[in-house]
Amino acid sequence: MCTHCGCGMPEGATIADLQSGAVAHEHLHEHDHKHHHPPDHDHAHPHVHTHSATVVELNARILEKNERLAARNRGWFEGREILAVNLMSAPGAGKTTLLERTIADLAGKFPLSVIEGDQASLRDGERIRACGAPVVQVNTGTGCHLDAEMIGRGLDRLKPPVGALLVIENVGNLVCPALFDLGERRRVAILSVTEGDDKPMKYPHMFRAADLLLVNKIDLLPHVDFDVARAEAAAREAAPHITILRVSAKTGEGLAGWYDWLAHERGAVHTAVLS
Amino acid sequence: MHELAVAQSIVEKAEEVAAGRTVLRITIEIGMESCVSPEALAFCFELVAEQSAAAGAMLDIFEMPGQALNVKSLELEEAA
Repeated sequence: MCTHCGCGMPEGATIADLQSGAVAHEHLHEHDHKHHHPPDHDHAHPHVHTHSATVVELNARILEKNERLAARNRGWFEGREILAVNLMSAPGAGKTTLLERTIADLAGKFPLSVIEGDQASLRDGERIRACGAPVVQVNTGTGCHLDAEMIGRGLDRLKPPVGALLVIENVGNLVCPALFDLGERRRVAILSVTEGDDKPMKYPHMFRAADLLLVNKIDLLPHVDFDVARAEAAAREAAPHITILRVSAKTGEGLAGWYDWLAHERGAVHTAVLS
Repeated sequence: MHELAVAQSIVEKAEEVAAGRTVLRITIEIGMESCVSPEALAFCFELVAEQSAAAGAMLDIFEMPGQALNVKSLELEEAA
């Protein structure tokens, strides 16, 4: 087997290992696997390589850098007994409204800080600030998600106190944020009943990555065709161990369960530090 | 378009290892459950690679089961 690409063709290459230093490589056999070429790269398939080149085996994770920075954030949180929660949903599902309500209802119980992620504007950051919680706004520009480096930079500014709850409100998007570890302890997804009960089926990555699903805007259920049981079943199919709570951030219905969940998770952070 | 960030990470890693050499080919593995689209990634890679040591490099994408997102190997132009 060709160890260059694992393609099963006879060995046509000498492979260099990163530890032992690079070795010249001639790759002479044909490939029929997927090649992506720049537009001006016009040789025909199947092609033959005759150039002498150096092959370096990497076997490295593509998102290694993000994972390393996420691990640093995670250690920072753990050392300060901070519960960090990554809050994710489609745009308009009610992340900021839930946070406004949560800040008001939990005022005085424990410190709550927020990192707000949006492509542009200080709008959400200002809403959180108006509720009295320390907040940093990250604007990603064209970026569709937050990454661990942005969180690290946010923490430099925000510096949440020991024992705080830090809620990271990700960019509204049901796809991209699922891929990027921020160093959070828990992931919370929000699905609002105006979005349709088939979303967990259509965007399984987001729900698979979540520890808790909040089905929000349940005060609107009489007005929309949203089958809660169907949505919940689909979410459980993607994530069998997911906890699901039905809430209305507007009326407050069901939020006691959300606050209990937060209190339990904060307790677990404290226990983890002591153990 | 999280593929843009993934492409940036690939190019960064390639430049780091290439240390000034030209990158001819990058072989990567993409898990079919990784939520990364190979087509979108290939498109983003060209854009990101343009101004880098990986400009014009071929991106070989192997689709795998599971959630893998790995750079398998780099082919670098040998110093004359």
